[in-house]
Amino acid sequence: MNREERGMNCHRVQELSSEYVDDVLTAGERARFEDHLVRCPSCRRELDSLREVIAGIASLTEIPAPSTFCERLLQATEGSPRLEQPAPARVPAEPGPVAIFLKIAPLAVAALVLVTFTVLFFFQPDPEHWGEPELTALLDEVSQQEEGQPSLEAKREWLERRGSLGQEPEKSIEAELDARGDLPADRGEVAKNEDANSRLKSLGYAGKGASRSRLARRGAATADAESKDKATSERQRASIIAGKKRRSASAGVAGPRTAQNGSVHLPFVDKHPQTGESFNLLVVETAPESLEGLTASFGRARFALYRSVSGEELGFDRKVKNELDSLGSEVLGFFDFNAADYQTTLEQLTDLGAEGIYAMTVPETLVLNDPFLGEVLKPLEGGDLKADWEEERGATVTQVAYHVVWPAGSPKAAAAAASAPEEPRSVPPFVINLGRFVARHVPEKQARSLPAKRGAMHRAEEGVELRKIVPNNRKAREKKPGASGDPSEVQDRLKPKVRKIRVLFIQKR
Amino acid sequence: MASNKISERVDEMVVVADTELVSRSVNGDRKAFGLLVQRYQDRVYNLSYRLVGQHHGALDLSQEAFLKALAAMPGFRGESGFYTWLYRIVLNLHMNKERSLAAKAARKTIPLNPGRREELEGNERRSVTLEDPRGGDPSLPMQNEERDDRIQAALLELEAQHRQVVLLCDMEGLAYEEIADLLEVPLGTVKSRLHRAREALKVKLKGLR
Repeated sequence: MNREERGMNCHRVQELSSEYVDDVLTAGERARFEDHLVRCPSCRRELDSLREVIAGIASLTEIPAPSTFCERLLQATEGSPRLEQPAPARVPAEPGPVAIFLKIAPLAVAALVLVTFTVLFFFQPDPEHWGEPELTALLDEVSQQEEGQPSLEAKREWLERRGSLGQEPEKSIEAELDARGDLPADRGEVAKNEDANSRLKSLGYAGKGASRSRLARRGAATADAESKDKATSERQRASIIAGKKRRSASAGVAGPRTAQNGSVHLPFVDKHPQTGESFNLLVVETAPESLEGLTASFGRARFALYRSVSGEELGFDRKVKNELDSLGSEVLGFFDFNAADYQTTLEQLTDLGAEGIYAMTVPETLVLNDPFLGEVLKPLEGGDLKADWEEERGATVTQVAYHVVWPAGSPKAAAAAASAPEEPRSVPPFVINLGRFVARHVPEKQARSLPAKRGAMHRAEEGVELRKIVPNNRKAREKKPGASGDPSEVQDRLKPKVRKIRVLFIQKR
Repeated sequence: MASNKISERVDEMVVVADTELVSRSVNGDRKAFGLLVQRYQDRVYNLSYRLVGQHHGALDLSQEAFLKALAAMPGFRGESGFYTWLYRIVLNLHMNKERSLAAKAARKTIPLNPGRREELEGNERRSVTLEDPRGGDPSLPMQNEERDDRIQAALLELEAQHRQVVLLCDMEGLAYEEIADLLEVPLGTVKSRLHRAREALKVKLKGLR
C-alpha cells in the first residue's frame, strides 16, 4: 500500500490546504483530505483559519484611483512623442551621439580588446586548426599588452589617429561584407535584419572580432606611432587568424548548418530605424578570467550564472538560489559584480565553472524600452543563438535573457551610480534582473502547453529580447569528439569546456 | 476556484476593443489612450495600493505602469489581453521597486497605526502592528476599516512575491494558471508561494473575523 492510499497525515493536509480551498485537488486527494479532516479537529481549525484569511483578503475594500488620475497621467504624457505625433522621429538627446561615442569609445576599445582576447584564446571551437607559432606569438603579445595597459591618453591618441591608422582594416572588413552582398541602406527593417543575419552567418565573429580588436590593440599599444610595418604585419596576422577561424568554423562540429553558414554570432545591426545611429551587436563567449577586463571596462554589472552540470551545493544568495531551484532552474549563483570587488566574484565564478553569462550594453541614446532593441535582437530569435546552443551544446533553449548595462563612464551610468550606488533605480530600470528569466527549466510537457511567444510581455515591457535557456552540456559533450588528440597545454587552454561565459553587448560603431 | 474576476469585469466594460484602442494610441491618439487608462485605472490602482500599502506609492506605481505601457505599446502583439499585459507590467515594476528598496534596506510603509509601529531589524522599515485592535476580544466585531488595515499590514509583512500571488489569487480571483502565466513561473511555484503566503497570513491574522 503506497503512501497516498494510506491517507494523509496532518502535515500533508496542511500542505494541501490551500489547494483544497481553491478546489484544485484531484478527486482522490480531495477524498483523502476530507477523510483526514473528519478525524482531525486540529486540521479543521487550521482550515477554518485559512478560509478566514482568504475571505478577509477577498473582502478588502476596493480602492479606486483618484478622480484626477487619468487627467494627470495624460498631462504627464504631454510632450510624449508617442502621443504627440504618429511615428515620431527620435531626436538624440543631449549630449549627442557623437559626443557620447567619444566618451565611451575608449572604454569600447578596451572592451573590444579584452573581448577579442577572450575570443582568441578561450573560445575557438577548433583550436587544433590553429598553428602553434601563431598561438605563441599571440600569447606573447597579450602578455606584453597585459603588462603595460594602455593609458586613456593612449586610447585618446588612437582615437584621434583612427582615421589614418585604423581605416585599412575597417575597409577590409567592409570590403569583405560588400563582397558577400551588402544591401542598400534604404531597405526595410526586416530585410535589414535578415541581411544582417545572413552577413553574420557568412562571417565568423572571431574573424571580425580579431580584426577589430587587433585594430584597437594596435591603436592603444602604438600610441607613439612607432611602427606602421608592425601594424601591417598584425593586420596580416589578424587576417590569417580570421581566415583560419572561418575555415575552422566551416569544419566545425555543428553539422551542415554550421558548415554552410560559418560559426556565426556577430549579429550586425546597421542603423537605428529612428535615430540612424549605428551599432554593433557582439555575442562573445569568454572565460571567467576575462571578466576582469570586461568589468573594468563596463563597470557595474549583474550576472546570473548557470551551467548544465548541476549537483554542487553553492552558498551564494541561497534564498535566490532556492527560489530558482524551485523553478527547476540550474542557476548556480547571482552576483552584483563591480570593479571594486570583482576579484572575489571572479574566484567564485572560476570555482563555479560557469558556462554562460549574457550581458548587453546599450548606447546612451537608446531608450531601454525602445522596441528597436527587440528588433536588434530579432535575428537571434529562433536563429543562430538558439541553434548554437541547441545543436552545438545540446541545450534546450526556450528563452535567452539579456542583461542591459549602461556603459561605464556614460552619463546615465554615472547618474544612476550617484543616485543609488547599491541598486541604481531608473525608469525604465537599467538593470534587468535575470533571475526570473534566465535558466529556467521548462519541462517538455509544460513547454508544449506554453503560448508560442511567452516572452512577448517582457519584451514589450523591458524592450529587450527575453528568452529562456536551459543548457544541457552533457549531451553536447557526449556528441562532441575530443580535441585532435594533441594534448598540448596551449590547446587545452583553448578549449575550456565548462568555464564558458558568453557576453553579449551592443557597442556603438 | 474563484472565477476570473478581471475577465468578467473587462468583458462588461469592453465596448471598443482594447486592441483597437492600443492601435490608436500607438498612432498618437490621445483620446484612445485616455479611454484605456479610464478603463483600467481603478483595477490597476487598487492592485498597486494593495501591493505597496499606501497612496503615494500606489499612485507612482500605477502611473508608471501606464506610462511604461504607453511606451511599450508598439511591441504589444495582442497575444494576451491588454489587461493581462498591463498587470504584468505592474507586477514587474512592483518587483523591481521592491528589490531596489530591499537593497537599500530602507523600505517604509505608511504607519496605519503610528502609536504601535515598531522598528524592524534596526533599519528604517516600519511596520504596523498586527495585534488585534479589539484587544483580543473576539466577541467585538471588527470594523471594516480596522480589518482592512490589519490585513493590509499583514500583507506588507509578506515577501513581495508572496504578496503578489496571494493578491492575484484571493483578491483578483485569478486561477493558478493565469497567475503562473502572468508571473512567468511554473504552476508549482504559484502553489508553493500561495501556500506559504497564506500560512504566514494565517499566523499574522489570528482571530480575524
